Amino acid sequence: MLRLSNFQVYCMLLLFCAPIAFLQVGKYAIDLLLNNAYLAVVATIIPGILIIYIFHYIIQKSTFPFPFMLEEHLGPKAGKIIGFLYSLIFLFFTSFSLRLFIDFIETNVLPQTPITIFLGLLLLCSCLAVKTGLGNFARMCEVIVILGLSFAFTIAFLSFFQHPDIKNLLPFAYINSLESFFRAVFMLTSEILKLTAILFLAFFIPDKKASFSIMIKVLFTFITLISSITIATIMVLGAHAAKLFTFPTFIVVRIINIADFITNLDAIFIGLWVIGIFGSSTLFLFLFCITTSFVFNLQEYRFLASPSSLIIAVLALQMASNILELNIIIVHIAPVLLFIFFFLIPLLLFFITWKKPYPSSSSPLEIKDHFPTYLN
Amino acid sequence: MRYINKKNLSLLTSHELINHPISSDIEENISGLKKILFNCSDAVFREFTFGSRGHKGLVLYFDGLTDRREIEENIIKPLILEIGMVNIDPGLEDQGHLFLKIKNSIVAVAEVKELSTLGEIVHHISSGDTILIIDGYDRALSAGTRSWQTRSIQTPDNEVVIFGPKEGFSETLRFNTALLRRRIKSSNFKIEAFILGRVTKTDVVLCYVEGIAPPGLVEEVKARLKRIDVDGILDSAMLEEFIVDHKNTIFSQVEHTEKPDRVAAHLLEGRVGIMVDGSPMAIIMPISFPQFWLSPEDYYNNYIPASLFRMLRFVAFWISLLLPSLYVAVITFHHEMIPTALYLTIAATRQGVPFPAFIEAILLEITFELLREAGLRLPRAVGPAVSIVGALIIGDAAVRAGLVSTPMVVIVAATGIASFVTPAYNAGIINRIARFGFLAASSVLGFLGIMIVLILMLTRMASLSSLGLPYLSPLAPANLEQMTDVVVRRPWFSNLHRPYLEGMQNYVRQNRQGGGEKH
Repeated sequence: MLRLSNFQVYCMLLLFCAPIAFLQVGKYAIDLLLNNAYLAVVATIIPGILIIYIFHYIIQKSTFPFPFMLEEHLGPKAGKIIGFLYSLIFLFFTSFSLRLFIDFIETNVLPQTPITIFLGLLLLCSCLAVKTGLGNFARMCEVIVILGLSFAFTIAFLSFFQHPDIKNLLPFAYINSLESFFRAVFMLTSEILKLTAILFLAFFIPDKKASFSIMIKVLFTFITLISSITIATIMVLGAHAAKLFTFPTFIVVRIINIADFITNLDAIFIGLWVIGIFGSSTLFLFLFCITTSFVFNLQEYRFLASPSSLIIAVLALQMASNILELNIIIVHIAPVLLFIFFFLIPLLLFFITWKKPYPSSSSPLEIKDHFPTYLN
Repeated sequence: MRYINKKNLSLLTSHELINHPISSDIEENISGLKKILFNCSDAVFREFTFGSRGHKGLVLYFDGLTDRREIEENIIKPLILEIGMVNIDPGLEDQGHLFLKIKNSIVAVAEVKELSTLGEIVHHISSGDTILIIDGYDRALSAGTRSWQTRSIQTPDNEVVIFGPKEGFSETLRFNTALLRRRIKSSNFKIEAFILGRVTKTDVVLCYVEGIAPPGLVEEVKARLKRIDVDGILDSAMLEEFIVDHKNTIFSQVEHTEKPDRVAAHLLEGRVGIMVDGSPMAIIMPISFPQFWLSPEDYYNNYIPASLFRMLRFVAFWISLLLPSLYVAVITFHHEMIPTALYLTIAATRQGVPFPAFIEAILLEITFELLREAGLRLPRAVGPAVSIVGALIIGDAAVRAGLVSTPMVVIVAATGIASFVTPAYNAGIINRIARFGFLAASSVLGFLGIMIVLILMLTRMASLSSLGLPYLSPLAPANLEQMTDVVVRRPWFSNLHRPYLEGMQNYVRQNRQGGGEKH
């Protein structure tokens, strides 16, 4: 049976949640809360822990990993129907994360290059990763996270030395509108909801009880990363100026100047961000393939990667005609979809499992015979 | 009966004779062996008679593979001159008494074996042994008289070190195993022999330390070796393609070395070594990619400078892989990354160069590779001179002619120098090939292209394994304890455990309480 280490699951979850958030979420929090955006980031700990508790509880009360647990708790018919909806959602989010990345590259890095080239190349990488299997992808995630985290924190650290103005954070902790605060927290929480992947991954670690500590570590890494880059953005650019830019984090990276010689590190930042987006979209693609194979009772999931790439490419190109339409999806549609499928349905599972006893075989090794063979 | 046997033997082909048992009639054996060794001008058949009853005997060997003096002094001379001094009961001669007396009291050679088929005789003389056949006995004696001209133990040309042992393997398997045995003086150090190659019958040995190497790993290597069915094995590198997990990849899954101390160090970490007669290279399995950055002399030097040198090698690895592509990406797409003054300098040197940076880089890289290959193939006396003079003259002429810019020459030269820093030659080859992929991608998409190729490379590397050991370990799957001995060189006093291999039972390397056997 496929075995993953706790660190591998930590890396996969972090890669799932952080790359898009690193570039975007701080900006939306600044849009809503200006100089107090970091407070919303820190406040996300509370809903984050709540979500982690719900996911952990579901894992403890389930015998099978997601999406097979849908059938286990909701019955065969409802399980399959909701599983089908999930596969559509995973498909959508794979396309969405790729489109987001492509628009960013097109507007900021290589405006002359057709977006289909970026799309094709990233999908090729994702497809190959899915075909090599989850165990190999987990190993890749380890390398990516070690590289990416060290670079992301270095960026945040260096940006604190680019003529920051601590006065930009004033007045400290004065929130004008509670509604804006909660909206910002909701936006940030929607990124943390991607921890849903643990419902699948927890069944491959030696002790699924460890899933709680893994999620907590991911949450705190996420909060530290996003809050540090948000504070750096506010201090360096100022909240009002940051609001004017589409990608203020990117501008902060551009401002970094080391010894008046190394400047414009954005190209390196983009390079590493590409790997992050690749990790995030590949995990979505994995989940799509696995959920689809569950819905249609297929014996193998890897072969779905190539044909689904075509659908993903078309969807990514067609989902928005310009960056403004994409912004509408980012602000209004994506968080709602994330809330429904990554929070409400898990919450439903939580209540359903409330009355259920703990499964007799808690160790994945004991239930390996019941696992779908292709996950072995 | 003898007539029927004789007739049968004469009818058999040389292939059929190979499996034929030795006859008690010496004439039959001689004719059979002459048929098998037809047209083998180096085969020496020395027939003679000995003893008071005039027994017929035959000494058979290949000229050049044996010590003639030992044959004369310790086999033929005692038989002809000293047999009379040995007390043999004439009545017991036919019951094998004479044969046993000769084996135990006459043939004065350290290694003597009894053989029963003609095939065994051929195999033993091919290995340098001398065969003694006596009329009336359906067995033969093989005496170990191997001796041939060999290269002496020398410093390996490809693995030069400043600290630590300098001796390297040679082409003689027994010398090589002796070099290892001298380092690992334990009965747990096992050297299992195999004969591979239908025609070459090459001696191959599998070395491991019992109790440290995982038993499953040893059994798997043995099974893979036994599966090989090929006409010949001429070098250890030929075995690599037969026994690795993944065949279609540029990433080497074994480590090649000429240094016995390096093999011994790996054996003590639970790995296995394979050596082939006629090859000075041993191969070590399983191996992971980060292992290629490590040099044996790291462990003979103080751990602080050794760690710094290792980090330098790590940087050199990335320089040799990415520097030309980073330069092309910056020049072509990301000008803003370098300071204006530097960019203006580079732009000034590129004035009049008719090629884009990518073509420039490719031209120089190919020229550099040509010079490197030419330097390797040319006679040793002129090779380095040709490559250095060639590099200087071609580089200078190309710049003067305005075909390439000076910074590009500097970049390619720096890349070349950095590629020599990687201690493992196979890792250098991976770099050399991958570098062209990075170059092409950077010329199309800049940093983005480099990252895409890096992802593809990472995907491939993550999917590889060497005898089940993940190729990127200990980086992925991450193992913090082992990682500290990859990025830096962990001091010996804190090197408590061996690198983890699946199924390893003896994980503890060092006992902190101290000790060691006293003599």
